[in-house]
Amino acid sequence: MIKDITIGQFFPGDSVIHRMDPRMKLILTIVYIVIIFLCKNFWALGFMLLSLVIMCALSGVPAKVILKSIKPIAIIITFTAILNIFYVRTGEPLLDWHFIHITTGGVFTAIFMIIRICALVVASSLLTYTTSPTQITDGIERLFSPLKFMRGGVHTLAMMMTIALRFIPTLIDEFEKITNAQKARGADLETGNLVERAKALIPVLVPLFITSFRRAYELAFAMECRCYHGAEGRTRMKIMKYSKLDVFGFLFILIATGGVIALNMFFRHVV
Amino acid sequence: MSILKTDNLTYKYSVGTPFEVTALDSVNLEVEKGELVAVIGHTGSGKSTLIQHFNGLLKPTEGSVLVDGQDIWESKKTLRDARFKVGLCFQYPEYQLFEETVFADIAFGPKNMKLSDEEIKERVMRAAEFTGVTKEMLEKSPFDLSGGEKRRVAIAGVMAMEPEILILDEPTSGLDPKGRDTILRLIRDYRDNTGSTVMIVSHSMEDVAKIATKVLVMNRATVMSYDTVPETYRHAEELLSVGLDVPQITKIFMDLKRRGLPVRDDVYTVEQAVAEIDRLRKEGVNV
Amino acid sequence: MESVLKFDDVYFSYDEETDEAQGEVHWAVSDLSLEVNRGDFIAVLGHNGSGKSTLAKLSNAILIPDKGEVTVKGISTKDEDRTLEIRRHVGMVFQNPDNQIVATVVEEDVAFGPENLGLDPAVIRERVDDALKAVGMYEFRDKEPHNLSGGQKQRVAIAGILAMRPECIVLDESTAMLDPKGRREVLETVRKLHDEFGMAVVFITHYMDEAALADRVIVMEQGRVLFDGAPCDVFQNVEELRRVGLDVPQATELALSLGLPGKILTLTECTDAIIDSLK
Repeated sequence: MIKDITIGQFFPGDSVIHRMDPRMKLILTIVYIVIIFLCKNFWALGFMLLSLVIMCALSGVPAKVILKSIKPIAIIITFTAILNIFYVRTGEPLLDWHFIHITTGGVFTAIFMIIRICALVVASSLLTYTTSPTQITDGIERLFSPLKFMRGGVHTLAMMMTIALRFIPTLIDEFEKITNAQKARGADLETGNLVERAKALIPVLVPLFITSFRRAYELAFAMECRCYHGAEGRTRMKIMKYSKLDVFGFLFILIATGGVIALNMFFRHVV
Repeated sequence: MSILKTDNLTYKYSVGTPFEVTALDSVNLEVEKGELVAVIGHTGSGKSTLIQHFNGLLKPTEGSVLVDGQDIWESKKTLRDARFKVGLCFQYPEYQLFEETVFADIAFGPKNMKLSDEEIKERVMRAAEFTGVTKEMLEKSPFDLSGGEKRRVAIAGVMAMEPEILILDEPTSGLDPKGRDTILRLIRDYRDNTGSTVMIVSHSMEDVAKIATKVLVMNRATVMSYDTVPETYRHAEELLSVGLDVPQITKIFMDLKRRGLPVRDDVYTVEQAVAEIDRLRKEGVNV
Repeated sequence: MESVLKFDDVYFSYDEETDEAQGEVHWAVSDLSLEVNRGDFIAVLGHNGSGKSTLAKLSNAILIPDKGEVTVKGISTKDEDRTLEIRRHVGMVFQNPDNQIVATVVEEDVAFGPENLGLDPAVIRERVDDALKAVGMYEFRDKEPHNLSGGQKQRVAIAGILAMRPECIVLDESTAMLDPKGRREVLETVRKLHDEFGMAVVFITHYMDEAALADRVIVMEQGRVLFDGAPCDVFQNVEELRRVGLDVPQATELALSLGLPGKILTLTECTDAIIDSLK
């Protein structure tokens, strides 16, 4: 159920992708997504897709695991595809029946959109599969460190993200435990309309909130006892250093951008 | 007839994935009415999984669970009946309190049973008395109570459903010796006064020795033994061999026996130990 | 002996108003004097509300005494400028293993303390590895903490303290939520830190069998020290301990019931004494 969500799941490994600097991976992922949206025809998109496949292969994350990341958004993909099929009216007509008009343009756009969204999701999943949550938050913290004038803002935010990531599994376990305990007292959480069900959740949510506050309080204590006093004077065990790998990554994305612009220019646009 | 019976009960987690784990492996068990059963076994032995089958929170992968001779998974109704016939109080039950007053919290279970207001009130009062929850406490917010008091309120919440079988998962964990003794005493009194069947899951062999009539030892997803307390501790060596503990007194007597003294092998309380040594002193032994 | 932690006539109250002229003050800890030296292994016993957790929090400047003084290596906990120094010397492990682990990877959590101290990355790395090896969790360094057992989580928490290289480690009921196996793991780890590295240990618990393993037992009652001495001496006071809601080890209880001579604490001592008495 709730445990099936793959986004944010780390897949430990020692591949070139794993070893890249998290900051570079963040930048690459963002740039990649932007380029995906710059692609105007199948050649450009195909080129980007190919490079994504290569990246995935390099990462050593099993294809099955990567494809699993698309599952949760299957509904969104289907919905977008249907919208495009019915509303895009360019190209040759394929079907004309009452109010339904399907054209080649619609079908192409739909396929284009499906590939685009899948590439987007796979690219961001590849980031989370190959980068531990802590590395991602650290990467964000350090990428934004030039914004230090925001008075501890970036550090605090990154700390909050780390703690949130750390406590998500704990809270999921807690939620299941309390649910079982209230079910054992005859609470009915499965039947009734939406309002009734929402009401039935109170006996689960109130204890969950109270425990969370207690946890937060105790954690704050524990952090203080371990000399935590904000970002000031704090060092990190793992230093981030851009390596040759990252230079390759940067060159790759430069080439990709150039390639996509060229392919966009030489071939007819689909969207 | 036994009040609780399992028939080849098997339960597997994550069936069909590489992570498949057999948590219970064809467990056959019959519990007679009125027993006070202690369930022991280390973490991962299947004891928690087992008790969650008794009120239908978990569905057997194979086999069946019978409460009062009725297969609880026969229909929706039998399942719902099982929820009320078998009261299950989880570990650290104080973390499930949520109502504004202690009274309302204890009344939560009986309310879900759709009882009349009068009946609910009576049951809350009875449960409060069993657990030493005072009238003043009933009006308070459960969050203003001490840890030990909260624990008792939470137990009262399950007792108020007046189940035929009351199951408590580690009811004394985290409590100091005084709090622990209070809880154990009230569990024993509850059983003596109502004649209900009670099961407690425990890690503490001393607790088990104090109140149980029967001991169910779980090991590696199966029942290792189900017997009276003296019989269970007679096999102390086997318990130790699977990594379980036995009361210190039992260990002392194992040692005495090993060193050639003709002592009984089912001693597990200080009183029994004193009586046994006195017997030796009177009869005289060659050391 | 070098004193690491010292309580001098300490009084502490959670009440907002601590002015005695205003009436009765409920002292959580009163008239507490105590000295922990390098290499001590002290167990603090007491029922809930006896003041033993307050004692823990007073020891590293989480709480500041209302009267009297707590000093860590000569530094008063009242000296706000040196709080960090105090917390580096006196590390603390809490009850709930889930609520003291900060990071999503074991080694990154252990690094949290040294990182806060502003140490050099290479030094942190070395300390983290040493600390994880000392608690026997080195193989788990890249695991996620939430997949560990309770005992393993507590050992990670201990490593997190150890990596700050403290003089003294205070464990505030750190075994209360664990199963027997987890309790054993934590106890063995702490014992090892004491025996091998000479770390001063203050082990707060309500399990008598754990206290029996310490070199010195302090029994707290109503914020005061009721007994202070070697375990075998303290546990002779069966009636008094029962009165304040505590147990004594069964071996001691049996020996006393049988009127066996000597101060008996362990199983072997007890069997030996029984056999002697039958001769």
